[in-house]
Amino acid sequence: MAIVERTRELEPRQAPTIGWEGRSAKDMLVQSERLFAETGNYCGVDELLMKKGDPIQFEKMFSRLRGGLVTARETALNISASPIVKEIGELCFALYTPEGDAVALSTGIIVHVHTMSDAIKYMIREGYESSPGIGPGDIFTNNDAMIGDVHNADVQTIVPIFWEGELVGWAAGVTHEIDIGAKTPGSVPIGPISRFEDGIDLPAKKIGSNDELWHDHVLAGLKGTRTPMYWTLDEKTRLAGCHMIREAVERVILEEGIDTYKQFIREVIEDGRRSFQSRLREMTVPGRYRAPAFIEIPFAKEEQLPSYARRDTLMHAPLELRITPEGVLELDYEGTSSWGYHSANCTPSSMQGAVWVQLTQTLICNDKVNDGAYLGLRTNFPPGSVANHANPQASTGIAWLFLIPSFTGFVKSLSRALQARGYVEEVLAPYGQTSNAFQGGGVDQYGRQSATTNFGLSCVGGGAKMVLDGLDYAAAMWNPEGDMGDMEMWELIEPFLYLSQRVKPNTAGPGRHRGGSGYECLRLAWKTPFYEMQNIGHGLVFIQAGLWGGYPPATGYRHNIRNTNLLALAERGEPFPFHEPDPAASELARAVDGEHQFDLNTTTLPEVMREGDLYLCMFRGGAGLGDPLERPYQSVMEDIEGEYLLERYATSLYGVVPGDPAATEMKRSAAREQRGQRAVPVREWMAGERQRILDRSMIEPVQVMYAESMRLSEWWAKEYREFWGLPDDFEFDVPTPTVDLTKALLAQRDQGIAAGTAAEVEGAATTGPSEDAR
Amino acid sequence: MKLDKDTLRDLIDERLPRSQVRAIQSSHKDADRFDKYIDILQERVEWNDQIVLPFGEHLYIVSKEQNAPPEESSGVASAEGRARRKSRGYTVKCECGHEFCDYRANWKLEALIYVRETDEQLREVYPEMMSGDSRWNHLREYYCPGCKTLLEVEAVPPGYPVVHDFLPDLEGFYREWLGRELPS
Repeated sequence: MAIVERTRELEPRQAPTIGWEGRSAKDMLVQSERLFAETGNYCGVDELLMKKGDPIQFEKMFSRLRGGLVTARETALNISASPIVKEIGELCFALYTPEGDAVALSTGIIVHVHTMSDAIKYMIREGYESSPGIGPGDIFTNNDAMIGDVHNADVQTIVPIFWEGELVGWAAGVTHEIDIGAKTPGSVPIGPISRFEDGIDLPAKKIGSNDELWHDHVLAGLKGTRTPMYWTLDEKTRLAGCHMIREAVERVILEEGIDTYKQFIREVIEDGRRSFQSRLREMTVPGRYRAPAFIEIPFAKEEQLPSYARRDTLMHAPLELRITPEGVLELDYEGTSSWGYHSANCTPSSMQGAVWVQLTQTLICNDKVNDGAYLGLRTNFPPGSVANHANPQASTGIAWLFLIPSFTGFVKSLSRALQARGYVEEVLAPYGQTSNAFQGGGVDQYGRQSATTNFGLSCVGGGAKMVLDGLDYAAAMWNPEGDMGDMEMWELIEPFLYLSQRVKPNTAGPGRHRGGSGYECLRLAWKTPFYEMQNIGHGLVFIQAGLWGGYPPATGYRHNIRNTNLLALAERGEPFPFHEPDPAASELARAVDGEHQFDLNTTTLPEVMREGDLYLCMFRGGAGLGDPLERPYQSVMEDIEGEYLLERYATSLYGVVPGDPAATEMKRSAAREQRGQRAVPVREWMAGERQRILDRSMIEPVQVMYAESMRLSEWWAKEYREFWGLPDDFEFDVPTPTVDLTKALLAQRDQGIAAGTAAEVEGAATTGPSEDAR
Repeated sequence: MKLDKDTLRDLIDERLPRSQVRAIQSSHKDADRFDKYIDILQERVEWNDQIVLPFGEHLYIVSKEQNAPPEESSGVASAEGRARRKSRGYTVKCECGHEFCDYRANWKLEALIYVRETDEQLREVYPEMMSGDSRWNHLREYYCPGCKTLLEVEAVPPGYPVVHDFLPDLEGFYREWLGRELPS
């Protein structure tokens, strides 16, 4: 008997329910999803009684909650010392319902509004209320992209909010870490080829209670990164912000009453859903839009990688966007390339986050942003593709390398709809690829170990507009609130001086309106015995063309010089070049002695630089819009004068004869004639292109790209064969090992083998409808 | 924001100061914009076919009575078979008057094309080292056979299908969203 009693003590105790009306949070989540499935309305909310009955109170409550979130962000970021957080604002906060649906969000990196929702729902679904328990004062964290995140560097803090014993919501905040302790330095590491190299791993963990972080977690963080001071202060930033949000919610409940608050959070999300559908109907046209994007990972040259990862990859993002007459927006990535042994793999959570960023700058660019818009979306991110790797061992360290190009088609497609409705002021060509990423680590100018990710990358060129040129070196659509930071601030933490920072000619995509221009910095390694520097950017392929005759922005190149004579030139008082406006006539190549890396290898693993070495950091431009021959003469002249355009391109590209408007007209007329002479009917050209396919006359990375798309998607394979009139059994005869592995993983899932692994694959695979919708 | 037709005309013609463009961008949208835009476009073209939908710069979908159905031999047309549509008689037409095809087919297949895939071809547009590697992708330029205007550019790998950028659901748009029949 005594043994039985003692054994009983070890049995799990029933955790107290924390949901509303005595239910568990899990029951609430299940019911919420059931009600949405049954009614099409969030939580079955049929009428917006509060909004109708007292619209002022409704708006006031939203403003107070949103104000609390923005205040939390603006106040808490002052705790941080990281330039990424403190100076350029790579953080955001959001408030969630007990089930994990976003009610409102702060400004900042809004990509995470839905990723944190995923993380909260994961904890609820996995029964965290029983173990490790969810109670007042608890603190949770997450940075696992398969649970709900983009990559490890985006670290989340999540705090439950209780009122009289009931869970009434969650406050959550995220900061982008400057280093995440990955295989290679920085926040978006290019080196990892598996998840085990992605750095600090926090898969939805409880890390504190009684409003304090547990000491063991704090100690682990200090050991996990190359920048422990930034890590520690960022953690305090997130926690302080979450507690400020909790206080704001408590004040609202105290003054308005808990019942009013509960009604409000339901209605405001349903209101967000309806508002999104209304905007879709007001501003777009139902139909099907297509805009594929591409980017390369040229790793065949990287001898330090294992053989299976040492390959050149071309990633294919064949976005099909559909707007249904019912007012549902569908994003379909069927046919996307396979995941790979690199760090650019994505999860559904990260893709959803990227959708968010685009929507908040286009269709829902108002203050009432919450998970209502998510409910108006349907998505297909095929399992096994780079958009949804569905592989528990895949790396997501630099998921943005795929995310950013893969959503250029979104803004492009949406712009077709906006123009068709007449909203010409909203039309926007695709944005520039965020690169080059100046990132690395080593020993800095203070003799300390350090790492950096420079956010100059968040100021690439914007896409051309229908009524204006694109914004020059001003924005990154994936990160609308981020900016480049000050050079002086970066020089404080990076052992690299800025010799220059100026416009890079011809980076903008040409067109009637050109894209925004990119820029370049020439950095001089300074007082460092070694610093490992990588390159990340596209050099081999254009990401996405512009709109209606607008060209894609230029691709990039690498020009880094080691063992230079630059310091010797300076010491002798002799001139030295400080920028490279035209790589075809490079002063850097001519005047600076040293070992030049002057090529198209723009995505590389880190290599050591030392004092006196030069690193040219080139940031890309945005895509153009319209026929370049229609660009006003004066605009072309201003581009030349502003050094946005090398003069020789005035004629070859725009048909402009500088200084002679009359000759320009004749030149443009001749250019049109030349077009007619050298172009051929498309169907005639297609015959030759078809033969090229039948001959497999293309490099292996291109063949592999097609093979992966066709083997992962029967639908895409059928489309491809039908378009070109290829035999039904046509294949590219190249190996696609990651596709084979995906099929094995999915088969394991289907057979219920390897329960732990299968659960994760399954979770990632069930992202949304596709075949029916298509 | 109330946006009258003259202001819209000035917006299209880029005669408004940036501050006003900014204000228009940030304001609530005028619900009748579509009709105003169509009116302005219609008064500017030199032909009489009714514009049903603006279709990018220089292109329109117009109402035509004698149109052949899209060619079903094309893989693209077959893919479109899944799209919701029953109507016929709507044609993609260039501002210059050149008519491409039924709107359900991909007008690009009836265009002229120039592919840039050599250094010499790419150097006309981009400086050395700034146009990628043509073994990985190339530029396709689609011109109107009538006026030789550059209507679209594609940047895709060799062997990629011609992209069908936009297949509007005209019937759904007019009937379900605008609440009226498609112009005949």
